[in-house]
Amino acid sequence: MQSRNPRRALLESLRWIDERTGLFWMLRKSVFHRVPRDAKWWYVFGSATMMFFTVQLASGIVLATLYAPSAADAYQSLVYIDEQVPLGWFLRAIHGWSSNAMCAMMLLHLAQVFLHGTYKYPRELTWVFGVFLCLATLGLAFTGQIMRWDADAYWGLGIGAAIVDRAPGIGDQLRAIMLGGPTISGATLTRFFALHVFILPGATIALIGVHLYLVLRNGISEMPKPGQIVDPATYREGYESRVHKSGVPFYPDAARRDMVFCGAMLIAVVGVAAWFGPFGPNELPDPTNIHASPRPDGLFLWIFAALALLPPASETPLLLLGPPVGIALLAALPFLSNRGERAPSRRPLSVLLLVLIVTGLGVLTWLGTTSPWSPQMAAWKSTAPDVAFVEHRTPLETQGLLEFQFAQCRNCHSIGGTGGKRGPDLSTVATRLSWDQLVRQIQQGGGNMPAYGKTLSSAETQALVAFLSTLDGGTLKAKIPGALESQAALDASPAAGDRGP
Amino acid sequence: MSSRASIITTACCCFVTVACDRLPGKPPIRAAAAAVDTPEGFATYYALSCAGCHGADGTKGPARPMRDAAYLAAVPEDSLIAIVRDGVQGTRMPGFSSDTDEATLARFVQTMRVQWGGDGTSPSGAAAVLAIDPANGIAWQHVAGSGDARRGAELFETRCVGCHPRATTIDDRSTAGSVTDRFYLKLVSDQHLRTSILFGRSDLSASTAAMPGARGPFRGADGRSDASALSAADVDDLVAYLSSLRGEWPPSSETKDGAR
Repeated sequence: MQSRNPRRALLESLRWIDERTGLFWMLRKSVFHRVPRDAKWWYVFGSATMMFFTVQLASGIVLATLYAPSAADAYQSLVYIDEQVPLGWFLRAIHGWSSNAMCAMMLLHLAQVFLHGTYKYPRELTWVFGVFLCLATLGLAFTGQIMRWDADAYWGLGIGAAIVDRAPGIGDQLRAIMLGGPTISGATLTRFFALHVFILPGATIALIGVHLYLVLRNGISEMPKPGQIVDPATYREGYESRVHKSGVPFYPDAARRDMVFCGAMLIAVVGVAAWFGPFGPNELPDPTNIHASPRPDGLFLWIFAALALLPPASETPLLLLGPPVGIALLAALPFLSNRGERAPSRRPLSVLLLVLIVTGLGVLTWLGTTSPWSPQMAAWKSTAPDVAFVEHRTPLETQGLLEFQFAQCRNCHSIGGTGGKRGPDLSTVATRLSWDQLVRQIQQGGGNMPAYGKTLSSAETQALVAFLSTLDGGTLKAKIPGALESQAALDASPAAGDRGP
Repeated sequence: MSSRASIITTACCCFVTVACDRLPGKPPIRAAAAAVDTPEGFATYYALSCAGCHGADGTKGPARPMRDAAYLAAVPEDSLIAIVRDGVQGTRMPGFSSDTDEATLARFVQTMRVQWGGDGTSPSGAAAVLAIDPANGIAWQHVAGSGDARRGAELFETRCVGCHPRATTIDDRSTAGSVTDRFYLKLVSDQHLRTSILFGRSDLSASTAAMPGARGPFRGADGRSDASALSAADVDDLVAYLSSLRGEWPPSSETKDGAR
């Protein structure tokens, strides 16, 4: 008798709560609501996204108790977590890799919803809140990278600030809002910490709530069938009739697949975290440290690649207009087309668009991973030229090599296999360009190379070209007769600027 | 929970905790950077900050070789520290005080003098240290306005022109190239000329451009060798002569040589 009393008390308490809140009614309705029978493995990505969000919340809460959100201590606190806290590194690794997995699942979910035309009536707002969730998730990922407060975070912020700074008229204000002042400082980290730990997670939880409510309200969409037209006048009645007739309860039928997929993904993320460890921190955030090669985390590599490939003239308009226009178009999609066919086979344009976007993002990410766009900022002082480029040179050519180092040509151009890869290898440049072409390229720039006409004096240009003209693959026959005279004519030309003659 | 279950659970937890701490993803302990007054720290700092211009091992770079016992013995430590700290105005030698604190730079210079100064590994060797010793009357630092350009021209004919022909458009790699090229002279300071004449570039020993320094031997226009060393007045005169060739065009001084 005594053993049944606690159970009865518990039941009584739960019943008391249920009567006043309707909690169990809501749970029953959520867990046992009927879903289309054909909603199978295509539908697991949304659940996996939410599962990884809960992993982020749990691991993030523990990390927040260990992390010191001040500019002076943040970096060292990460080192402390990695090296001193038992399994602290593993917790960081899970938080980092789970973040990537959450973003990957979210993008797969987004692609599936687009491919199946699920955003159409009556799920327009579900899509819109999904887009907001997408932005919040990307925001969490970006602000998480800033939390590392290492050189990558510092330069990443610098690039972000440089982008908002381009906004005409309000650039200074936007930068001050972003950084908490005119420059990157402790206030910047405080600001991003608040975003990462309070504002964005809170917004994400609220958005998930609305998103889930709308999913329950409008039901999980059926697999699209060719010929099954979405017509707002008849859709809801037809859907409810079909689900009532042939649907299955979410639990256990559909939930089983969700659990299997989520479990497999979780095991995979734990395995990857154990094998590859946490992200960063890399070098210290030192504004004088030019060894840093700013490269964003994998999720943002496509943006990095796109920025590198944009023609300079189109950078500002595309940077300022591209994101808002793109987001607005994405959110407005169901309002542009909320009826008609959902089947991919009847929507070739949508399929083509998705393929193009996925391919484009994939190629840009691959390029962002492999392409050496970032100059080797320290090559000029740390990459010694091969002795073969020093010996058998005249004093002027040796001065040209010194110029090649000091003017930081080396950061972008390699000779003898060492140096930056941003520009072409110059080991045999004298076989491709004549003396005059070398002078023109240096003074006027071209391609992605800036013009050095106003930076280098005529003597510096002469020395540099004298050295470059020896880079003919080793024969050293490229010295140009009449060089002095040709330079005199160039110095007298308008291209020589105000340094002439 | 039974006692057996408790033991198994505890054992599993201990195993997982210990095993997890040995997983491949665990970051290695960050080692503190070696101090610049240790051989490793000196080599690291030199490789990151100096090798690009002064050569990978202190020789055979486009700028003055620093692994040169004669040079390191001749230039006072305070002057060398000031050069590394502040750079040389108007030249390609940058200052490193924005990167590194002064005490570290001083230790770096002191270590360089220990590592590369007069230890027998220098290309110049101990004999060169004696030849440029201040006691012999040749100061390392240039004094503006000193020297006789006319006498320097005569010296140039007998000591230098064999390796440094006057023509600027030659295609002859058997010589060391012109030092009377106006563009070259525009880019280098008198101190650079003096330092080059005093200490030479014996690190480029495999090259015909190797320079002997003030102790010679030299090669005259007729190709004959002259073994007599330069005096302090000879060095002043040669610098004055070369300096006088800069002329009026291109205008203005453009000393960006990185030497002092």
